[in-house]
Amino acid sequence: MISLPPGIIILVGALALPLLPRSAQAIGALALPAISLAQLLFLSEGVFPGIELAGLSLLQVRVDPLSLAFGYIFHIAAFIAALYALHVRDTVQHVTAMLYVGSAIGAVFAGDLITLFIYWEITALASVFLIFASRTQRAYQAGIRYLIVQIGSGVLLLAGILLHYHDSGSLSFDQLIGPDGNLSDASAGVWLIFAAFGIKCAFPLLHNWLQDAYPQATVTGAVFLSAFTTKLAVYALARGFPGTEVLIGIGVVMTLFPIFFAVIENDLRKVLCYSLNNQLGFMVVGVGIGTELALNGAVAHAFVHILYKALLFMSMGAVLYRTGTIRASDLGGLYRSMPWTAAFCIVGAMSISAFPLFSGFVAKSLTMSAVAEGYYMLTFIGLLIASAGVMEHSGIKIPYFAFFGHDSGIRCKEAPWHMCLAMGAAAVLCIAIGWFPQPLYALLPYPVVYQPYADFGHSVTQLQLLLFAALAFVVLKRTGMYPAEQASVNLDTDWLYRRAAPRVIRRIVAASRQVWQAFLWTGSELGRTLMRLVLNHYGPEGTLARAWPTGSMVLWVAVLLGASLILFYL
Amino acid sequence: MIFRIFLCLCAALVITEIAVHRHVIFSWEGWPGFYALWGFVSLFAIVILGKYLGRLIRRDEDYYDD
Repeated sequence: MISLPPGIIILVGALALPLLPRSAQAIGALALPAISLAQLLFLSEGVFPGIELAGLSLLQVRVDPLSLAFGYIFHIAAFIAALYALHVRDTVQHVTAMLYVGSAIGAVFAGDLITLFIYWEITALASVFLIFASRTQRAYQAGIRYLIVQIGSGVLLLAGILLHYHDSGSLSFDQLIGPDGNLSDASAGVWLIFAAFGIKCAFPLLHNWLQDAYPQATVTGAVFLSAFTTKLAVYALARGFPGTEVLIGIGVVMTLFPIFFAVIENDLRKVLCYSLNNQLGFMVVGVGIGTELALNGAVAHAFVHILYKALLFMSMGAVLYRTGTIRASDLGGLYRSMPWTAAFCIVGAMSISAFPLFSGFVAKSLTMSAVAEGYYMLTFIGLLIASAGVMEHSGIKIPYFAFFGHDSGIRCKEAPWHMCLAMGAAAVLCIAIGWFPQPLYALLPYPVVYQPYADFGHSVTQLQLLLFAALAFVVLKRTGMYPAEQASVNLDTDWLYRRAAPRVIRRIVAASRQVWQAFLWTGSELGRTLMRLVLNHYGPEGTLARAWPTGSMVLWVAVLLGASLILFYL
Repeated sequence: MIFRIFLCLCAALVITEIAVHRHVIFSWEGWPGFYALWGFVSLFAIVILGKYLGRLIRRDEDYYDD
């Protein structure tokens, strides 16, 4: 059992789930991550050979601190999400969720690029069913768009891997970027792999599949989705592209632009998606700086982020489950009906905003000090603005518009016990990591000397930043300058392929149809003219078909004979 | 009432800042009240800019549904 590749137990178990009676499938799904985690704890570090195929060693397993950190948190997230989904009686969701989890874990421990590609594609194929499972027209269409983007990422990855293999002769999944971190010197294969990772990591302009698809997923599906796909991409970047300088710029843009969209978004799960995009930016900056401190920051951030983002998605999912809506314009005042969910949501909100003594603080401080120590001043300023932005959309907007604000009049039951238990577990972890960061630091790939609470001034200034940002919110609210929530949809880059591209294609189709019709008309006119000419000569009324009287023939013969007689005598 | 307590808390934080030693890397980080002002101005600007962005990109909920 110990020699099995991590994730295989969950993948095989997922396929066996349908054999269980419907009522036991949820419990089976809960047991799988627990069994797999037990196996992971017994794994020793190192690279284990896989199967030999055509001279290539495939399905290699690599266990090192980087893959272990992601492996642990993926298991914890899977367990919490499965606990949250305990009420679900839908075989498709349980099976695909576990296939998704198992393949994400397998990808993290992939030692070679082909194995990575295989798992990369299974995550895409399995996860789309968590969107389809909503069984609405919107979810179906969003799922198809999601699938196209994800499979596109996989195709780029495979093309990149093949080119890279052709250039370097190596399939092992190690650092792909050169030691100078300059992407412009890299080969075309490495560029393609970078683009594939970038799509899954929701780089700016490649991001919109995330905000398009996740809000359409089922209540429980969104919790799974929030944890794995994008963090797998962060892992892949940390493995293949540490210290790639262009990532710093990309990351800063990622932290900044979603916050403006989050301000005006009405769908609270979509707000969380923009927030997720912004959080990925912090991790991408950490990977881009690439020092030990920065990489530790990126991994620690991914670790705690999975917990509090899942917590926030769970609390909004519970609201959707109980009230049937997640529009900010329809919600408000729910703390009366769902006090526990409200409390857990606030823990998640304070963690993501990086309040001292919450998990976000101990992770984000690593990245921030790595940025400051590298004297990346503009990056530092950008991340400070982004921190205020996180406070706005996740720290205040999510809990405020769902549980406080104006009373919507909705009275419902508290979330089911297993949802509260799952949220409670995540909330306890968020607080525990905030108070005792050392066990988290011990999991990071490099030794940590950083102590987040050694510099009390840092905690004070962080609190200042957050509380004065909250003060600005209060002032905006009181003066009526805060934009009112209204039922709406906001355009993003998805407009390009949902509106602009179909319009252009429709026009091209219409234009080519016109050209084709003009061509057909010209052809038929030409043919008709030709036929008319032929008919004129050969048709029943044509010159050559006319019946001539014998008399005129005799006359013409006489003329010809006469003419030849004259010619003879001349 | 809650608003006043909140204001007092904010004021207390600015006063605390003077009392504690701070490890700064960029000189402007050390200006008194820098983080407080930065937090306030950032959120204010984000919301106002977001509002204008909303005028550009906000559409009816069923915009994509036809």
